[in-house]
Amino acid sequence: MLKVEHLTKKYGKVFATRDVSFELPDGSITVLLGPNGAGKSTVIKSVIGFLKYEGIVTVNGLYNKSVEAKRLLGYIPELPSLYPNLTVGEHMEFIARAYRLTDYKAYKDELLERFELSDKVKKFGDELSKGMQQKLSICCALLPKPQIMLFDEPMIGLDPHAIKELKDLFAELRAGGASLLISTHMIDSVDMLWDRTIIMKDGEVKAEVDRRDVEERGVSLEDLFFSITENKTEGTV
Amino acid sequence: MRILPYYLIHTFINAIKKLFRNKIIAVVLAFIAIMGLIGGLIGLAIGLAIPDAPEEPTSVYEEIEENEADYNSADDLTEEDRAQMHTVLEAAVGGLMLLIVLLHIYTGDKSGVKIFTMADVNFLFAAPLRPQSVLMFKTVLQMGLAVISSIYLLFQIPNLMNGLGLTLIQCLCIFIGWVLMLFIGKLAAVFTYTIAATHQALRRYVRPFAVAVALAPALVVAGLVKFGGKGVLDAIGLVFASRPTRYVPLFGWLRGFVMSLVDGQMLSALLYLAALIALCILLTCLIWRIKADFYEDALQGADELREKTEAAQAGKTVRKKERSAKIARNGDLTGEGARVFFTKTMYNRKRFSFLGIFTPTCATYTLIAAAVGLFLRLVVETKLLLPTGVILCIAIFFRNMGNPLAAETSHPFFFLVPESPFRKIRYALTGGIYETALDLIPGFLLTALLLSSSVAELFLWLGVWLSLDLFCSLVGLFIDLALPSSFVPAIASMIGMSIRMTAILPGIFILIAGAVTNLLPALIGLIALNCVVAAILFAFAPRFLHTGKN
Repeated sequence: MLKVEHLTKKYGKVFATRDVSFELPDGSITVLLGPNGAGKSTVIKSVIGFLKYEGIVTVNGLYNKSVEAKRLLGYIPELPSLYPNLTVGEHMEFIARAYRLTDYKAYKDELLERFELSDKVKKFGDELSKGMQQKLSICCALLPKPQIMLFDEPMIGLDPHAIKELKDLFAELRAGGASLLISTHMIDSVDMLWDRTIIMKDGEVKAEVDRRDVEERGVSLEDLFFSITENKTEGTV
Repeated sequence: MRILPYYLIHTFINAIKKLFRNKIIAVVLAFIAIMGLIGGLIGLAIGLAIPDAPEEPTSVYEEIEENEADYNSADDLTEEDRAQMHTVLEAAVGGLMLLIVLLHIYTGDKSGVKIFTMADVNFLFAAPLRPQSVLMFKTVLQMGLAVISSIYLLFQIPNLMNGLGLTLIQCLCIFIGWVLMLFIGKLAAVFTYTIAATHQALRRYVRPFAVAVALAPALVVAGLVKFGGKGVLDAIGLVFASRPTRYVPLFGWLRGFVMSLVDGQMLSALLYLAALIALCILLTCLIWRIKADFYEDALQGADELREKTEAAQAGKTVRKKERSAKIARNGDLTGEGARVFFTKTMYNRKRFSFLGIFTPTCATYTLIAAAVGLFLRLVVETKLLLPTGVILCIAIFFRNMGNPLAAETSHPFFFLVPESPFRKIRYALTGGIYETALDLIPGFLLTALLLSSSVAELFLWLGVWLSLDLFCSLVGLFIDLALPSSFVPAIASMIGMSIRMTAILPGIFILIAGAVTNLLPALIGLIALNCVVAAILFAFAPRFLHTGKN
């Protein structure tokens, strides 16, 4: 389980996030929703350990920056970046070695097949389109089978087939007991998937909503989002 | 770490594969071979024509020391002359090594950030690896690339063998010394970076520390001259070339290693080598043990790098500083067709530089001219133009290390303008030469004022500087247009450096011959040579412009 307590990140005097706290239960999909500049990426980058911050982030009770915690975490960045002089196949091999994976070949082939990269294993990183790069980025992150996956705007640049595959994959990962934190500002891209949504604005958590509560109230996530972010109503649901 | 050999081997093999995927590389390799042959033939011809000609350091040194006295051949040198030459060489080696290592430390708090790419951030920072492991992975990789990028130095082996009478083994050992210095410099930079990124409070002391270490020997030299009654060269010799200072860790050891090899003292050289390797191991252990937390800095650095790379590929520049409101924004841009690439350069020079002339490059050239001119007039008491000429040549050479026309060629419209590629490049090059001429004017005038011994020589040096600028610009342009955009930068830089060094060798020979015999014809020959090489490159480079990048 991922636990974020009082996460505050400042750049100089500017707060990127302020006192953010939430938990990610096992086998769930949590969406981090917010307008541009809300602090979603900062939360993701703090959790994965890229940033220095105030507060406590633990993964199954382990300090998030420890090697042990990183074995449990997976990260898909907003902008894919690959090594120009490694091929698609070599990227996967590189990740397998970095994570000291064994018995990964079949899963590697399955992922490449699923994201339509099987015929591109010999292509270099800089020979792929942006969408293909994002697909490979996703494959690399999934290869170690992490328990907690952090997706930072994962659907940008993907074609319809890849979006469908990714959504199916989200459901499969959840069914397999993994926890997913998906940051996005495109509400319709995650509308059918989420269990819980954390709505952020100006670096703060404005609301934490549970799918059942929303369904019981008969409102859509979109309506709820705008009512909170555009100050029609505010507070924790 | 299993990923290091995997990444290194695959990156290297793939880079070679990419290299030979492009047929243009055959032209590049052929060019290097032809220029190497020309250089060898000219060097041989000069060697035969001047059988007793001494080597570069001797001639320059003697001209300074003996106040332009008649030249003595190498065999006629006295023991005292040889000792003085040895001191000058050792001081130069010591000074250079001190400068390079300190430069690594000075820029360590910033340059450390630049070793990571966004791919490293996404894959390695997120992987279950200690930050130190990630850092060492990239450090070792950078060291490997630094060694590959230094292969062009092997072209200097004939010079060392002929000039200093060294054996091939000794020359190769000196190359190892250079590699060791790069290793130690890189380790020192990474060590500085790790400390500065982890303990932010220490960051402010890094640069003052490097400056203080650089100033300390200078102050000792000044003290010896002022209060010890020593001459400048004697004082420099005492600080940078005396035996006891070879025991100073790092700087002394590096110098001791090289000079022991030059003197043929293999045992002593091996001891210094062992000390240096021990130092490398010590630095590695220290970096390994520091509790590092630099991911945030590195993420920012990698992001900036990505931004710059994407901007360069899209023909844009990343500007962080707001432009001054005083800059003219509604001037008249003249010219039409390909000529606009020249008139734009003039127009921008006028509005962006101080008084239409002064730019940072101009200030650098002027400072070099002033410093060397004053040193020659006041300390050495000579009006010899050669040192200023050579040092400004070096400055121009390094100034043109990349592609000086990248500002034009990185823009799609440089390809799109419906004009002959030859015309477009000709006008862009003319703009570049015009800018270099403006950059050189204050330094040129200052040199004329300080060292006004020969007007003809002065103007010939100006010709050498401008023709060198033209030649170097064309090499950079050729590399940029001919190689695929995805090429490993270090290998592209190595190819560029190899072409430059190969093409410049004949020029060095001509200059040495001129310094020994008659400089003016040599300068004319040098200008002609630069122009011929530039013409050859100009015959090829534009042909790649409209074929599109791989």
